Amino acid sequence: MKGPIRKKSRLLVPMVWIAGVVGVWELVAFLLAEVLKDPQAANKLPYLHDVIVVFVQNADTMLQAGEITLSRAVVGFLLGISIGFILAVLMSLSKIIEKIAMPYLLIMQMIPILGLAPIIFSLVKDLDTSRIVIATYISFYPIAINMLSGFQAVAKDRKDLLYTYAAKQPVVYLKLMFPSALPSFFTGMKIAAPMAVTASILVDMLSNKDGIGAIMIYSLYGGGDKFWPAVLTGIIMGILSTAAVSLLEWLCVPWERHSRQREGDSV
Amino acid sequence: MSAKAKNRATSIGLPLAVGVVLVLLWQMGVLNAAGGLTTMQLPLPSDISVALVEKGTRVISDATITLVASLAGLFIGCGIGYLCAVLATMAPRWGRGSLTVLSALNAVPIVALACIMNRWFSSAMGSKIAVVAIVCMATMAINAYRGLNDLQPFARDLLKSYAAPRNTEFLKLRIPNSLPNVFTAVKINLVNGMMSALISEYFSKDTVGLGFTIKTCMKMGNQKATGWAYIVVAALLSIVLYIVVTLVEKRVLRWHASHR
Amino acid sequence: MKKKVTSLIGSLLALTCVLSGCGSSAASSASSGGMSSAAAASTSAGSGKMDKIVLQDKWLPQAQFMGYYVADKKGYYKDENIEITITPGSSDFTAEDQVINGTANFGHTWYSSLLTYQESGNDLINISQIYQKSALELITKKSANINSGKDLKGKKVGNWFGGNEYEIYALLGKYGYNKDKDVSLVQQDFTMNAFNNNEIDAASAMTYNELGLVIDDDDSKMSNYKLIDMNDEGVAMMEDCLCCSKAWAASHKDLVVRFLRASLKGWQYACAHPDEAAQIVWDVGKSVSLKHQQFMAKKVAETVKPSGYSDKDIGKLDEKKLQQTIDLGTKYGLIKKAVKLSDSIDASYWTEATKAAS
Repeated sequence: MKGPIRKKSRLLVPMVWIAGVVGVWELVAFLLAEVLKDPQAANKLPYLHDVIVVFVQNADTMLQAGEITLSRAVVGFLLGISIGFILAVLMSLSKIIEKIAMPYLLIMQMIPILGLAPIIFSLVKDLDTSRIVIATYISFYPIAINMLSGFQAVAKDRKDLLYTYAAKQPVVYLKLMFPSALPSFFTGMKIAAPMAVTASILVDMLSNKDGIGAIMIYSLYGGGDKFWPAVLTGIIMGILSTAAVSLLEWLCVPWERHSRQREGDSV
Repeated sequence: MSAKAKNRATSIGLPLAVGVVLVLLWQMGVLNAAGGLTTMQLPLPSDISVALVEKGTRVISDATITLVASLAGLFIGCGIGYLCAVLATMAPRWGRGSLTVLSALNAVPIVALACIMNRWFSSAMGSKIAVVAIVCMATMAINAYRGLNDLQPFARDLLKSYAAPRNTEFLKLRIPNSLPNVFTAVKINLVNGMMSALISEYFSKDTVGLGFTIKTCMKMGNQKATGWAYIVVAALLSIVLYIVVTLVEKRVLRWHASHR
Repeated sequence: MKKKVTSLIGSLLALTCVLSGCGSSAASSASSGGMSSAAAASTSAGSGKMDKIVLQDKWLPQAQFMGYYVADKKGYYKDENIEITITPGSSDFTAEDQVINGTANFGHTWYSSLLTYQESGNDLINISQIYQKSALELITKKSANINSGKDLKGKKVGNWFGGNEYEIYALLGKYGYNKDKDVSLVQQDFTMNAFNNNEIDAASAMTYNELGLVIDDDDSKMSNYKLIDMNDEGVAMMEDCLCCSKAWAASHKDLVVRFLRASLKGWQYACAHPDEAAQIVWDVGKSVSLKHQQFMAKKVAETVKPSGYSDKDIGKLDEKKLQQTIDLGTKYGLIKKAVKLSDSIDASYWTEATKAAS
């Protein structure tokens, strides 16, 4: 008896959410346009159905641009993960490295692309390479910091237990630290995945040649109705990226999956 | 006590020492030479200091504006994010969708967000705060949700065996358990928030603030040192805030594994 | 069981998306690989190998830069044995930045902006002044009753800043107004929303661009608005010009002349055929409407070749106007000390390019 009901609600929940978001969007657009008679209504928040119509009319352009942006996002994200992961391991291995690196990671995050871009261009002298470097630069920080806090949260007694068995450092990491930090790693990735998409859109704006970012800039600057469809594409890509990480988590962290299910049953 | 003092000394002293060496190398032109950068592309610390002094008290007023925007946005964004996490925990089946919605908003780049918020708010400050708040929500929601739900297995069973009501479970178990994650989120958001405040100021109606000056100066060949001076100020502000949050975290989380 | 199947299908879909993203990345990076290392431009004229050069535009592909796109489309660069890549601009860097750091060989920028780079000791020169007058205007609604710079006192005046604000400062200075006290300066974002929304009284607008956006590219709608023209007010500073590294130009003299010759030919054709030029630009960057490109092309043509100019005057370095830019720039704080005109421009390439053409 329980099975079919749960299956239904599984489909029902996202449906209701989608309907709810669509409803609220349309309602706010309606209020702006018809009740408040705001002359800027279409700029503040156009009707979702209008946005979708333009999106469908320009589906080719949008999907093509989306693909370009997403592919760059994946590259930036993967490089960001690698760097974030290595940094987190290094920092958790040595308190000294952590103490030295943390403030500088912070400072690095505070240098805007406006200051950074000319330097990176000077170093690599190539537009496409610069774009990947900058996308990576934006993506790695949330992964590194979440991973590190995952490592740190591993209870000391558990670590001590392994050390009393005279386990070597690599063994401790392999058997205890990595598995324990995986949930945090995924939290970091969930935050970083849409950021990688954003980074990729920002990087589109460096060359304004192709991608969703270029469409956004073109339509912001030159008018036209493609701005909101481009924003919508960005949002959909963000959802897709988070969903992909969640899926990966579901596949890679089975023990979390079970505990979540147990929780779900008891609620 | 002395061990603690020593620990504190290294955590301040070490990065500081590295910083001093770095700044010295930078001033001596080693960084520029290594990267093949002109002093316009990467001005020397002395140029940056001179530019900073030339700006005088204007720096303080610009910094205050940006700081107010990013802190106000941070509080609002973290607040909404945490509420969504609580909602998602209380009603996991229905509430978790809010996390997806919030993180989807994160895929709107700040440049676009800033332009949209400019349309929504006639006050420049309002639109800046809105941008920062939107950027901060998802990070807090996702982190806090994990904290509220990753409980030690025995802890819940213990409360259950006491037949504790749900409110007690929330107050005594879930919320304290979420605190480390909340601090992680706040630390990430400090940086993101300051950064988004800067970027929204590139497009803001105001002609004040750190971001406005950074944008204006970086576009002019003879004012790049001033632009860098403002970047340094923004970075220093973030570090000070970060240290404050870390100190608070240490105090609040003494009981937690990561601080034992 | 069924629950698992649905989630599996969902997850497979998501995975396919990610994978397709991965797969296409290799292809797209391969196809865009052509745009690399501008610094590698070589002078191998005559050997059959084309000289590769990169031109950095100040902003998005639009009729503002139509001369180069036309020259490229019509094969004028190819005739000069040049293979050109025209890179759109970005709000994250300037054309000068890209020339200095070696990502581009030539930059299309504003002369007033170039001056700031020259003041800080960069080895850049103006080799051809493409726009012969200032295209910046202040647009106001007729109801605001602002007829000249004099009426700006107490008004909200918009500009983009980042070096674009000095003509406005000069205009205010001309009437003895203090830019911080007598008016309130407001930053404009990419759009003209703030002006349309009545949030600012006078908005900065380029004749060829924002002006068209306000009047829907329809000159008859101009009757609702008034303009303050920087040229009429006598505070014009020179805008779009071509710059490159002085040292690089000296060692690639022939290439610079050939590039300039082809570019000027492109500008001549574009000014004579603005509609066709607009179409060519529109084919490159489709996001701005064709109608707006056509409006822009006409207005740009009037600025590149104002009445009284002939084809062979296009791109000439008018010392009087350029000196005025330096003087106003020095007076109103664009640059701290005057740049010497003779260090700032080099007319020899333009002279050489136009001599050969006749």
